[in-house]
Amino acid sequence: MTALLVAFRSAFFDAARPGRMAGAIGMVLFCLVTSLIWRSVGSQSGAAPEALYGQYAQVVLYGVLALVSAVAAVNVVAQEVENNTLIYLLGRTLSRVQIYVARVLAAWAAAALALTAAFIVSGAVILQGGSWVEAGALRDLAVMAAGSLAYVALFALIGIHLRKALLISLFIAFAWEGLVPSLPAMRVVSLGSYLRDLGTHQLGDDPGVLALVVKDPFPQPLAWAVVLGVGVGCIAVGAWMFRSLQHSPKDEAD
Amino acid sequence: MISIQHCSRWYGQVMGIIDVNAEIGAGVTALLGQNGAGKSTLMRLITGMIHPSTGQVRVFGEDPFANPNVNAKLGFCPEVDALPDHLSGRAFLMRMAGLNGITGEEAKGRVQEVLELVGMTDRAGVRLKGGSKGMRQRIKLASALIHQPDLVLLDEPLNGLDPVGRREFMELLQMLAGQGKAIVVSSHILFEVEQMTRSVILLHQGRLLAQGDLGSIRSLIDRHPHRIQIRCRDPRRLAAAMAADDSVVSLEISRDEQGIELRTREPERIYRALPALNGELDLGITSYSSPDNSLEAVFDYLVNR
Repeated sequence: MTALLVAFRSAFFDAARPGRMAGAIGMVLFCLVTSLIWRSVGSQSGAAPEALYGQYAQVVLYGVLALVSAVAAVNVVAQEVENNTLIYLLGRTLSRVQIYVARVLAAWAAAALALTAAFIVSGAVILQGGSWVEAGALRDLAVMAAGSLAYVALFALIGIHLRKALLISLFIAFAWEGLVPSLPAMRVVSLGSYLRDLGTHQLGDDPGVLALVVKDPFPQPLAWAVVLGVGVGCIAVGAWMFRSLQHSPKDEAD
Repeated sequence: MISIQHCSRWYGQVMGIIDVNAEIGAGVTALLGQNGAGKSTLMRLITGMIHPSTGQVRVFGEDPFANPNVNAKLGFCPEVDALPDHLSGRAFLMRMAGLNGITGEEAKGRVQEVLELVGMTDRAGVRLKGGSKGMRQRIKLASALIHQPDLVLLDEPLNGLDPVGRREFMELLQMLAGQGKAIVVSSHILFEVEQMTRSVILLHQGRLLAQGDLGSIRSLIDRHPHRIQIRCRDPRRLAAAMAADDSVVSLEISRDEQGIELRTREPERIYRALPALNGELDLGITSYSSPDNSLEAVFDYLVNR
């Protein structure tokens, strides 16, 4: 357990160092600015703060959740492959499984830290005079924690074998996870669909296109099972793949 | 310590190594070969980074692939010049200590120990990004030694080091070997390896060409005439005297007329005769040497025989 903690700590400080967190800080600032605009525009329509927050969470926060997780997951393996430093992780006394699990958890912790800040900033801006509980903002924090674990585990898995993992992960986070939840026939294959349904937000009387997204929500137990199952399953598969990974540095010819 | 049996490894249709058999024990062993000879492939097999396609590798009696038991006794300094550049040397070593299960005060002590060993205590706080090649090589070596392994593998460790750095590095290796560690060094710079060890494994195009003491390998090419270069004041008189010796196959006077180069099947006989000849004929011999003693020559002979 101590060894796992040591591996976690070093991976966390690596993932959370200023250079790596710049993107996350930028994302928090993005949430601050967009939530200010959202509140400003939304309040003119007379919508309740809880409904404004619900709409904002569905449109922006759950998208940010996927994007930040994609960036954080690069720290698990993909960045080491890209920098040719993976070799320093493989030939160690700690087992590869321990190292992989510790790095996934560290990336998750770094992502969750940034996302917590983004969610709280957005809630604080939009929910002025509203109820965090009724808006589902507190519940969002729990969903965010589970969702970021699932995303980080999924994107870390992609990073084990695919080059340009960040690009692929960002595409999935932005395009797939942004678009598919709004396609009724396809939403079953998007993690974002289950996460948005777990959010149980108030959307007000005029939710616009969001009405499509929340039309037939998944049952809560099923959504939790899928999110947690993807997280745990991807960690398990990733650990097995990392354990079996053969390392051939790209710049060595012989 | 290391047993390699009928080991082959290919990458798609490209052969890395072909049917290699080798046993490696204590002391310094050099893995020699030109680029593409299969040195790095063999290193990766020994360190458990890859599986052999056929055959087997055993390190301390176990399969090394992803094996923490083997990793606990094995340190690896890779060729690739890639390090986490945002870290200082000390921070990197602390991280490596952690990944080897060494924590707290023990880790700090161990890091200080290896930094002293590789002569990096004064620059340990410098970020690796701004470090010289020599500094980075030393930090890589320190990371391989952090957990006090019995077996250390160094892939082209002298690459990029200046002459002073190379000499210090070689001295360091001798010191580690003196501590009872087994050191395996890969290199394509033969004259440097020659200064490190007499125990070599020669690889060429993925095949094991020869293994053993350099002298034993040299005996494999005894049929090949041995070259001796002699510098003296009167090369023509020396050439005349040498021409009378039956073992001399050929000789020629150097362009600067300051010496001769001869080829002989019995070099020891020539070496024994030279002092007496020098006295009798007043040849003014200033030096003699044999390029055939260099590993380069041995390698050339074995590849081209």
